[in-house]
Amino acid sequence: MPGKEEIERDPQWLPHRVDMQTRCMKFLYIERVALAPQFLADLNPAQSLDEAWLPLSDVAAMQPKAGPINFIFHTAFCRSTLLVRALEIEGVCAGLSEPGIFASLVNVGEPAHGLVKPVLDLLSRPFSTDEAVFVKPKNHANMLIPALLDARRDAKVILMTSELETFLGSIISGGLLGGGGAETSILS
Amino acid sequence: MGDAPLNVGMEPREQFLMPDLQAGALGWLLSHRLLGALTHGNLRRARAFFTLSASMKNGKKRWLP
Repeated sequence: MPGKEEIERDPQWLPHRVDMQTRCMKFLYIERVALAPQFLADLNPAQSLDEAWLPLSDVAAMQPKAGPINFIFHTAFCRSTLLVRALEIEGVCAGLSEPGIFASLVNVGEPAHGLVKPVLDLLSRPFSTDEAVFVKPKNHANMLIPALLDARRDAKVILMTSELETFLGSIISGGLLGGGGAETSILS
Repeated sequence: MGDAPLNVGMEPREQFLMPDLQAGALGWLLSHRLLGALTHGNLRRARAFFTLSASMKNGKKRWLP
């Protein structure tokens, strides 16, 4: 079981979920090489090398070596996954596709607002010197955008969308939660 | 892993009964409203606003205002 210091230091420990009943945050250990091919929100313990829970008070008190962070906000089915994967260039920038922690923060609501800055600082830890991080939250967490931008005023933003007709066509072909839609088809 | 809820100010039953296309379109409109507000505000950090759509298939790219 890793200690708080190890989780704080190693960017491969990704914040994944908040449990307000136990007031703990779940972290998954994901190796850098495994970042690109998957939606991080869909990860389960079986796919990660390790997992750990830390009290929210410990997370809020963390002072990790945060690096630059940039966001890709989007309306789904608009090639945003393609972009974040293209930006996953080892030594230059890391692309984090849909970390699960954002949906968790939205679901928790107001009580989790104090966790936004610590979570972003954790996600922005560079994997190597001078490396930037691009984070593409799931579009379901778009309501969190103002809080994200307020927490990290240094962040740059790319906004992506598609036409409504194309979006609805993607839902018809792939379902509301994706899986067979435009993004999947262009990446497969 | 759960998804964040769609909050469109409707009664839970009405929202539950919405078909995927209707829920998707409402979510799309809400997101556009939010992203539009960001681009029309003083957010100098938003460097680009792409639309990659059906027209992209013909090699065209259109920039939104």
